[in-house]
This record gives sequence, C-alpha cells and structure tokens, in this order.
Amino acid sequence: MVDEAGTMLAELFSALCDPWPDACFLLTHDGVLVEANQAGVRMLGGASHELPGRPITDFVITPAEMVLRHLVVCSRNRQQIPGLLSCRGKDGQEIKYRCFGQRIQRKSDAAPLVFLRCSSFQSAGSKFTTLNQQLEKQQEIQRQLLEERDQLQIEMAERARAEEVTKASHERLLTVLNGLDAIVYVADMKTYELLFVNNFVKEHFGGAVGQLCWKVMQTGQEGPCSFCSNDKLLDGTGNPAGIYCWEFQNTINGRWYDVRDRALQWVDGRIVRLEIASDVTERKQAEEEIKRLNADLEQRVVERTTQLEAANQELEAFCYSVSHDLRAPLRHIDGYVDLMVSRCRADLSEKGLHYLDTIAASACQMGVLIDDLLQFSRTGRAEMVQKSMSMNQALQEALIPLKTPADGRTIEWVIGDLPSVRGDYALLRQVWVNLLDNAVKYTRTREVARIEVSASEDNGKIVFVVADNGVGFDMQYAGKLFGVFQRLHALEDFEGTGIGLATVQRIITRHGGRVWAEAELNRGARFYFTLPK
Amino acid sequence: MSDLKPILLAEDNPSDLELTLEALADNNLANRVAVVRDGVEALEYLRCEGEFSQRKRGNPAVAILDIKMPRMDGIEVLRAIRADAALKTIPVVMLTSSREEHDLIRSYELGSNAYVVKPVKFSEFIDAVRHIGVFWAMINELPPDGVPEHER
Repeated sequence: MVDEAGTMLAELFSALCDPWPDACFLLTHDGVLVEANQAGVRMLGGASHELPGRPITDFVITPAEMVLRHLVVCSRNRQQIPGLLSCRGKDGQEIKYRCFGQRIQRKSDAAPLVFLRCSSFQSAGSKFTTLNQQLEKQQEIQRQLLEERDQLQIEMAERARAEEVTKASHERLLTVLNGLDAIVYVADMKTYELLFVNNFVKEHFGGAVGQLCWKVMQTGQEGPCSFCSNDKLLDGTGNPAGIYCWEFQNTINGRWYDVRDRALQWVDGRIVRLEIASDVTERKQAEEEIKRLNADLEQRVVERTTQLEAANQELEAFCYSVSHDLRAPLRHIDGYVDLMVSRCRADLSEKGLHYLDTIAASACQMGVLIDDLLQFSRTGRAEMVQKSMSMNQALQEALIPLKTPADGRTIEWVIGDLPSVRGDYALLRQVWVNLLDNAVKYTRTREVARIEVSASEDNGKIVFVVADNGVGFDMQYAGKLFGVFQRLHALEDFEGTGIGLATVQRIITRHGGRVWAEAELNRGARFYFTLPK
Repeated sequence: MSDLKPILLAEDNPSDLELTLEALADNNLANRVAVVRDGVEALEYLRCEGEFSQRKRGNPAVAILDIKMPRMDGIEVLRAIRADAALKTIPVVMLTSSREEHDLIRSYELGSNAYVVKPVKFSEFIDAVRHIGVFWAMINELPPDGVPEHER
C-alpha cells in the first residue's frame, strides 16, 4: 500500500481533512484503516503512524460485527449511510459518535473504500443545547423585532397618510398661488434673498428662490431699490406694522403694479417681507387718459374763460361808455330845453312849449332806460357773495319806500314769515324791490290794493310768491314777461322800461332758482320764484 | 372880494361846459371860474406851467373834475394832486356822468372830497352844481396855501 500513489493520497487526505473538526477516516470495507485526519487520530487515541493497516475495530468499543456491517453497507451504496461508533476517552469514559460513511470507488476493478466522518455525540448535544438557547433568544429578539416592525409599519402608514394630507394641502396652496395673476414672493428683509416665488414671478421675471429680489424684479440697479418699502412694514419695535399699499412702475417691463406688502414671520422664525403685486397697467393707462382729457378740458376751459373774460371786459367797457357817453347828450338835450323854456319863453308858442316838454320827457325816459339797462347788466356781472341771509329783512328793506305811496292809495299788505336762504343779500333785495314795485304799479287802478307775500316748501326748494289783485295779464303772453324791454301794457297806462322782471329772472337764475308767473287779465297776478333750500 | 379863490373846472365836453357854467352863473357865485379842457391842462394850471405860467399864484377854492377827458382823465389828475405837496390840500370834487362803482371807489381811495353824478334833468343838475359851488367856494374853510412852488 505504501507506494507513490498511496503517498499522494495520504498527502491529499491530510491537506483536505486535517482542518476539519470532525474525525475523518478512509478505510476498506472490511475495516482496515487507510488514512485518518488529526481529529480522527485523536478520536482513536493512537499515534498517526501506527493506525494505517490496522482494523478500526481495534480502537473502538462498538462490537466489531456492527462496525463491519455498517462499512459493508456503506461500500455498497452511493448515498451517505449514517451509523454509530463509541470510543474510550482518556478518562476511560465512553464517547459516542455519529458517523456517515460514503463509498469511494477508486478503480472499477478494485474494491471500493469507505470515507467515514464522525462527530462526537456529546459535543453535538451540548452545542445543540447552546444553539437551542441562542435560537430561543433570537426568537425572542425576532418576536420583539416583529412587534416593533409592526408598530413602525403602523406609524409609517399614519405618517404617510398625514404626509399625504399635508402634501395635498400644500399642493392646493401652491396651485392657488401659482394660479394667481399677480406677483407673489417672500424675501428676507435683510439680505433681500427670495424665499418663495410663485409661477408669475418665475414666468415674467425668471425669478427663483435664492436670488435677490431687486436683481430679479428690477433692472439697472447696483443695490436694493431706493423705493423699497421694507422700512414701512415694521413698527417702532420692529414688529410687523400691517399692510402697506403703493403703486409703482416696473423698470423691466414698464408695467404698473398695485402693490400690497406686509412683514410676517417665516417658518424659520425670522421676519420676512411678503409682496403681492397685481398688474394695473390698463387701469393706470385709463387714469392717464382721464388725466390727459381733464388737462385738455381744463386747457379749453381756461381758453374759453379767457375769451369770456375778454368779452366781459368789452361788455364792461361798452357799459361804461353807455353810462357816460349816452347820458351826456340826454343831459344836454334836457339842459338846453330847460334853458330855452326859462330864457326864451317869450318867443315860444303854446305848441312850441308842448314840443319842448315832450323832448324833455323823452330825454328823461331814455335816462331811466339807460339806468335800468345798466343795473340789469350789473346784476349779471356783479360778483355774488352768497351767505345765509334773512329774507324777512330783505323784504322789509324793499318795502320801506312802498309803505307810504305818494298818491295816497290804500294798499293792504299781507306778509308771511319767510325762511332764511343762502344768497347774495343785495341782489335778492333787488328781486323784492322789482316784484313789489310791479305789484304796487299794476294794482294802481284798484280802490283797495291787496298784495300778499308768502313762502312754502316744495321738493327741497323754497317757493316764494308775490300775489296781487291788480290788472294781471293774458297768459298767452306769459313767455314774454321776463324778456328785456318786453312790456305787456301801454306806456301811457303803466310806465316802465321792461327790464325789472328780466333782472329778477337773471338774479334768481344765478342763484340756481326758477321764476314764473300766473295771471288772468284783470284778476291779479302771482309771481313765483324758487331758491335752493 | 378880489381875494376870492377861483373855482377850477376841468371839462372837455363843450355842452357840459356851457351848461355847468350856466348853472354856476345861475347861483350868483362871485368866484372866478377857471376852465381847462383836459387833465394835462388842469395840472398845468395848478402848477402855473405852460399857458398858465403868468397866472396869479395860488390854489383854487375847489377843483371840479370830469372823469372822462382826453390825454389825462380826472382820476389821474386827482392822483397827481394828492401826490404833490403843494397841491394836495386842494378840495377835489368829481363831477361825472359815470355811475360806475369802481370809478366811485377809486376816486374816494385816491382822496376825492366828493363824487357827484351829473343828473340828466337840468333842474337837478343846476341844484347839484349850486350845492358844490356854495359849499366849497363859500362855506368851506381852506387851509393856508400849501408848500411854496419851488418844492415842486
């Protein structure tokens, strides 16, 4: 057996099996040992060099026939065949081994060998116990781990749900902010760094979180905006001071924005600036247009006013001329007629005297006409001083010269209480003078004249009435009543220039009121005028 | 009576002038009436200049001024009189056709002593002129003549 092939086999076996903790043997089917590894040598308790060639049965206490029968079975089967072996330990105690044998066929004609691997029952048993204990511990750990895992899974599911809810609401908010047709951003108030921008800012200004607000929103600036509203967003103590609204024209796109800024606490605790700015360019343009139109209009008003003032000045100059130049010849006519009558009376016939009387009367009438016309003109031009005034007083002043008529007539005055009004005292007194003069004049033919003055309220206006029982007039000529130089009666019956009522109308119209009259021929007249309350 | 001061009448309109002189004559005023036809002449008379350089020195008892006159109107004459130390004490009566309020106000503001609107009716006109003549030439006491002429 000790040949070259045997040596090789021995070396190979040793190399392969020595590191194993199990005892390994190579033996013939009739129990003769061929090789044993180091653990096998220890198991059998011999020396390595004396084992090969000796039957294994010499070293074990297991009955030989049992050992040999196992080896025969092993040598005949392809599978591993389990078996049992017992040896004496150093202290003389029996050590049981479980072993597995396996046929090794070297050459077809040679008898097969058996490879036997043995492991101590006892060590396996104690190992088993240890392993069992470890397993139980691990099972306990595993059970705890499983419990913890279940708990974690529950928590994770909850967290996932919560996150989903948060995410959904976050997305909803983002959708709203990004859907806004307005600039929305949040910036650090010290560094001007953008902390949030909505899509509008991204799309229109290319802005992104992390950039500086003034670099994104403005152009041509070396630093923060000179008009930055930051200092207006905080109160004296550095706390948010509420919303600050303003308008500005963007330097990049030239559009106008209505801006609402406020300071607020950001998620990390610092105070930041929130800006919401909506594009109001169209409105602004409309406003500009309105301003331009207004300026135009104002310009036109100024031009028109200048024209009117010029016309007024001309009119004034005209009136001055009328007042001065037109009166002079009248005075001369009257003067020379008077001189002629007084100095040359002897040369004049009765007829001549009558003609001269008529010339003098005409000159006088024309003087009155001129004076009335001037007064009418002045009521239109005079500056009105409007203040609260007593109509009772104005009326009483107008009544003074009428209370005691020169021709000894009887006049019954019925004067009601009149409310105070807002107006020009002198002009409104003139209204009473003219209306009462008329009433006295046109009741001249009545034995007892009755003149009533009263006031009432109608639709927020005060209506004043002067009613008389005089000769009245035909209503079909009522439209002519208030025209300049319009007269409804013959000059021989009732003197006058036809300017009094025109003056009344002009004054009342300037006060924002209205004048009208009602009458019936020979049944008196009622003159009404209104003034704002 | 020779030391009676004259009445200065400034009137451009010949008819008005004649009627005014008639009215003054009607009232038997002893004062001489010096007539000038516009504002420039009025000042020349008062300052004894031009054609009046030979006139007897002294201010008139009253200067009756029409407002509307050629070259220089009555209001300008009034202003010049009040600004002249030698003339400023002369009584001035504006006798005019103008009822314009602003003429009235300006006249008084400049120191006119009276403002009379010429009535259209001659009898009233005569009355008015008589009142002016009697009051200013006879009733009114004048201060001694102002500062000598070299101060002009």
